[in-house]
Amino acid sequence: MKKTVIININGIVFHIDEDAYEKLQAYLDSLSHYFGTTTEGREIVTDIEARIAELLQPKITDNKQSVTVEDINEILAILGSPEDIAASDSSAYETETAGEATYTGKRTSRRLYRDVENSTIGGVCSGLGAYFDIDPMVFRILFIALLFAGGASLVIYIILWIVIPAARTSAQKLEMRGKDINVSNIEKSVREEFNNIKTNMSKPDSVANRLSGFVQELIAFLGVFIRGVFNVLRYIFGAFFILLGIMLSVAIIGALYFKNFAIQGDMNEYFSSAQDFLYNIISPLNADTLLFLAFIILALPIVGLIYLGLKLIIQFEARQKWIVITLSVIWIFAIFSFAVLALKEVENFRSNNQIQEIIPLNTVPKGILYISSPRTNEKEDEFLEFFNHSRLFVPVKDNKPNEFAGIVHIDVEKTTSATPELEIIREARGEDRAEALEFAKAIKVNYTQNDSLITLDPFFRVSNDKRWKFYYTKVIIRLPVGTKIYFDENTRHLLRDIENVNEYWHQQMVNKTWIMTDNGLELLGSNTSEVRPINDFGNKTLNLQLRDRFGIDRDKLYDHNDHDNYGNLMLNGKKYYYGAIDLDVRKSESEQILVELVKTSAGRNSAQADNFLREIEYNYEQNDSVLWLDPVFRFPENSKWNDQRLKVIVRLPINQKVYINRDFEPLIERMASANNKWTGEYINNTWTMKSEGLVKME
Amino acid sequence: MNSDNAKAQMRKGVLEYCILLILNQDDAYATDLIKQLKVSQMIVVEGTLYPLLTRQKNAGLLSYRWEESTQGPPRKYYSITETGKQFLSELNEAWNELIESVTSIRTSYQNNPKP
Repeated sequence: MKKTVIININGIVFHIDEDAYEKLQAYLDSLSHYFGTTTEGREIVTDIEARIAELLQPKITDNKQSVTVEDINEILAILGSPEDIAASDSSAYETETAGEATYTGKRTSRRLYRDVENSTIGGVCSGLGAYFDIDPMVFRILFIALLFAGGASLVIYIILWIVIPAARTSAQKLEMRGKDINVSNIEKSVREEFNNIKTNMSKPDSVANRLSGFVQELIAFLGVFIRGVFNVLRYIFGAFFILLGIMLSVAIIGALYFKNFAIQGDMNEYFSSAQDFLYNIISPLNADTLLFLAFIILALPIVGLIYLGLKLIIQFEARQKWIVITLSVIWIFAIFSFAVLALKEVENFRSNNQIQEIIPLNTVPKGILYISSPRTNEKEDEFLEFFNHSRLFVPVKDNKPNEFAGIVHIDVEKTTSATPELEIIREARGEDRAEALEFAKAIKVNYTQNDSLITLDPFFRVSNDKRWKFYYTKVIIRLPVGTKIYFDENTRHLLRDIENVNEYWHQQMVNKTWIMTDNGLELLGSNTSEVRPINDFGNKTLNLQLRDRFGIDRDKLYDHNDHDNYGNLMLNGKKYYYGAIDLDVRKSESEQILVELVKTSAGRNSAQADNFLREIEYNYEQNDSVLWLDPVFRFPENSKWNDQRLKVIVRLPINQKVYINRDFEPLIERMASANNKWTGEYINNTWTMKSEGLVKME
Repeated sequence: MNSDNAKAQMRKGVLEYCILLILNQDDAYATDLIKQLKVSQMIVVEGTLYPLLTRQKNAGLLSYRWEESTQGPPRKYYSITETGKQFLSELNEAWNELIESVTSIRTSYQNNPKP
């Protein structure tokens, strides 16, 4: 059984076998390509077609209804191959046909065309590839790479797309590849093209195709457009995946095996690689096994990412299924092994135990206890600041090679004992509490006492003949009420989270004298409190307004209110520093409205601090029910910065109403946080003082 | 270079002349021309004729008309034009000159062959 096609040649209808049809079609296509699409060329082909019809007619008999491939072969032999015909085609009339480049048959030069048949988007890269005889992938990757360099390639691509013509005819396609434009090459090319079309379309239905030509063109364009967008995304994502994968794998290898890789900047001297770190905690064999497993666990998804990226870009075929299954099994196995091994290692550090010693500092009478420490270098300071409270070991400049050093955490507490004490807590982890206790005993905390001067080594030491047991040490300086203590500059980075009445943070505590009171540690010579009533203005709402006499930027007040930042201003030719006030509104014990100014200052000693307090100046003004407050207090330049602060407390009798202007927002943060409110709630509202505190008026 | 190729080249050169000669006697359609040319072994494959006819026609040497046929679709009958006849006479002269030239060369070569 054979499939036949009905064809019409020169007005005569033939049934023709499909294979014969293809052969005939290829022959005519090849002729058309040679003679071109001019009137003359078409006429020649039409004449030859007419002859074919004439020759075909006697082949059809009552017994044989359809044209076979043998018939066609016979006829084509009579007519001659396109090459034979071309060879005899005289050049006598070339003057008349000079415009038709296709007749010359001699051109071998290459021309740049867009290869629309092998295109990804517009065929620019495949055309360039054909022109230079290089894999178009090179150009594609180049274009994508340049896309990340400011998108230059996008513009270039679009220009090339517009400027370079597409290779549409066989001659152009040959020219694009630099092959000779001769009839046999054209025929070969046509045949290839025809085979392509044949495999793509099962039914060569010509009439419908011609009718819907325009619609098809449109659909084809949309198809190309959508395919183009998709392909662009495909390349972008592919390239992104590959880049990400490469970056991640470099990062992982670096972090696991190379020192100083993960952290940039000055700190990295203190970081060993994960490998070094593990060597100090567990056995090298287990450490390496864990690292290897971790590497597999992290690397396999990255390999998958890169593979996916490559697949998106190149779209190769691979026996994916088995690779994926094998790698997945390895991956799951690695996770399982890692978990088992890690858990086993963690067992060794299950228990925590500590030794607590209290050492009385007998020789210190009621004088000042000076706390100092050996000078640390800049790197050590940074480490102390960042890793205080941690259980990490640190490389220290004076560390012996057979020692670990860890950070001592310093705290200050009140004691009921008559003399100051040092409480030293040493901790370690082990398989059980007994083992942990043994490890803790090995910790050496070093301090010296010379009269009232205590010099504390910020680093505790422990022999490294055993691995690091997550040691931890805390030194608590216990002071009886009334004991004074002074922290010198070297302790700046050792103090952390020491509770004090003045709510100073640790760096502000150094270079100052403190005294232990019943309420806790307090800055020596700190507070003076001036309370003044304001004039009675009848039963009206007190109106709190901010008076900006010095033209201070409202935003700056937020910074100044942190007590870590002073500004300066000129007043009557004299230079002052200023700081932002804290506003508080509290209950008054009397029937009057009072303004209380609480001044605070540090100093080398209480006499100096008192002196600084006296130099703090502040102004406010009453105008009937309006109280105008300065946003800042000031002190003369020669007082220097000694943590001067000013709290303005407006004390109201019960049922007194008060309005707080919105300008106070930067100055009421402490009041708000003390009352669990946010600053925005106080401002622009009227409040009434009740026995439970301020209540908002609706 | 083989002799077949040389012969083909020679035939190719005079094919146009032959077409004009045949059409000068009587109008003909392509198949008639082919028959005559095949008998006189001027062409091997038929296809070669068609481009020549079209180009001669476009050059104004030939004209054609459609004639009904009893056996199928209408046929294209070619006839020689006045320009064609003039061209033919020029070719006739050229041919005679060519024959003379070739003959004289052949004669002199046959009389005085090189050792």
